[in-house]
Amino acid sequence: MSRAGSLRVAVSGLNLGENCQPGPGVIHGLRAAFKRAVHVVGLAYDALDSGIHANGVVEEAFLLPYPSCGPKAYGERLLQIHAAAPFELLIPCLDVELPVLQHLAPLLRDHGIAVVLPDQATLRRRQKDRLPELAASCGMATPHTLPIADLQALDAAAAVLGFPLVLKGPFYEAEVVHGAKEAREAFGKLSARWGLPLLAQQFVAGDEFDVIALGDGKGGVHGPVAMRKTVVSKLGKAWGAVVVDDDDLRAAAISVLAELKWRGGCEVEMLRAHQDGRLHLIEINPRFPAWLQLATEAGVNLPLGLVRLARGEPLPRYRAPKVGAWYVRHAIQVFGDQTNIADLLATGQRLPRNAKPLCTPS
Amino acid sequence: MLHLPLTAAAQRRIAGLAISETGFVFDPRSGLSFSANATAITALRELQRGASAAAITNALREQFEVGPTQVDDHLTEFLALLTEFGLLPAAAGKTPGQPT
Repeated sequence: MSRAGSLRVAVSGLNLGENCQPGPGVIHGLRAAFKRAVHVVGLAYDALDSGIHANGVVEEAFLLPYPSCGPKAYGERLLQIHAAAPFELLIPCLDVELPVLQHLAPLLRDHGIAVVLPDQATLRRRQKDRLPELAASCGMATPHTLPIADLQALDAAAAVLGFPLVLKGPFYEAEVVHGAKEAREAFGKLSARWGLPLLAQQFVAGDEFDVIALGDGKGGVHGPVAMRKTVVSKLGKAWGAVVVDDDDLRAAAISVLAELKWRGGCEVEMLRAHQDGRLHLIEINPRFPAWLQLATEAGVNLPLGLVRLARGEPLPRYRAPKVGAWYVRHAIQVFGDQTNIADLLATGQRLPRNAKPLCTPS
Repeated sequence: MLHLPLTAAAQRRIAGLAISETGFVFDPRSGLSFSANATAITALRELQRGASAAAITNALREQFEVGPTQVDDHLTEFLALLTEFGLLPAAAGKTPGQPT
């Protein structure tokens, strides 16, 4: 374990593309807390993940196989990286990593690597298909949701829910569809990308609010920050947002995370219905979201709390976030030459920036 | 129609609005922001301090050149607008005779 004032950490989810990933936001919080005493090992799935090439995000970068390769190959690669660039804490930032890391957590612990995760049963309870059950146990509403394994089930769900309805992938992505033809097209697209079953959800007109917080695994919920999306991308992602002050939102999110005894970072998505103002539980993302940096800027550094949780140290005493703090994303280009790509693809590792560039034909 | 003074919950909601001199109004609960002219700002500030309809009307008449009937009509419209924007619940005002 490193001394208290420094940190060596591995972080995944580093691409800030059309669908921004949370890794850079996590690293921003760690750098705000640890200043120069943090060393970040970037874990990427693609040589063009932008975060491994942007200045000031990671010190070192390595390629990983996708979690679908199975725990054995994934674990071996993590330990290989750990041998080359040791880290005390791994912060996974993608949903699909969590099941495999749960499997690997004891092995990683034996090698001095901590991972802060909820247990398997808790992860299952927050899955989209089990949300109605969870919402009911917290006294919250949630839109009527049906699993869709084939086109016949889609038609049956449409008959029950009516149009418009929301079609959701098992892990990511959702589309609002307004008729049978559109629904079938979305079914084909989402199932090809994310697999089956999809979920068909009743469409509830309302305003979406998200709350992030850190759960200590014992029912304690720390540093909740609520936001409203102000700029929404075509994928429904928060391209801009503002911190809001709403006791009902906070209380609802805390109630859900306390019920789950959540351990680690989390985002609770809710919708306030236009019709009656009631809050509906829409989704629970089992990790920090890409807008995490807004919370840090508003005075609530949740990645610092995650490190302390991993180390068994007391959590920071979070104050209320600065209400009205906002962000809007600003897309920029990151440049490189073929050296960066060649290193990554040939060795799985990005060499230091002062490495000799590739020879190019004259 | 909305009656003044407001209920305690509605009063808290209005009191929580951040109002700048430039006419920018931010609702910390919803995250929404609005633009307001000088008369609206005056009315909002009066509402924030719990003023009665008569007190708001007087404040507006003192600060702006406007007739009493016009002020009453505009204040009614303004309160309806606050309700439409979700800044006041539909039943935000106490009914006449209701204890304060």
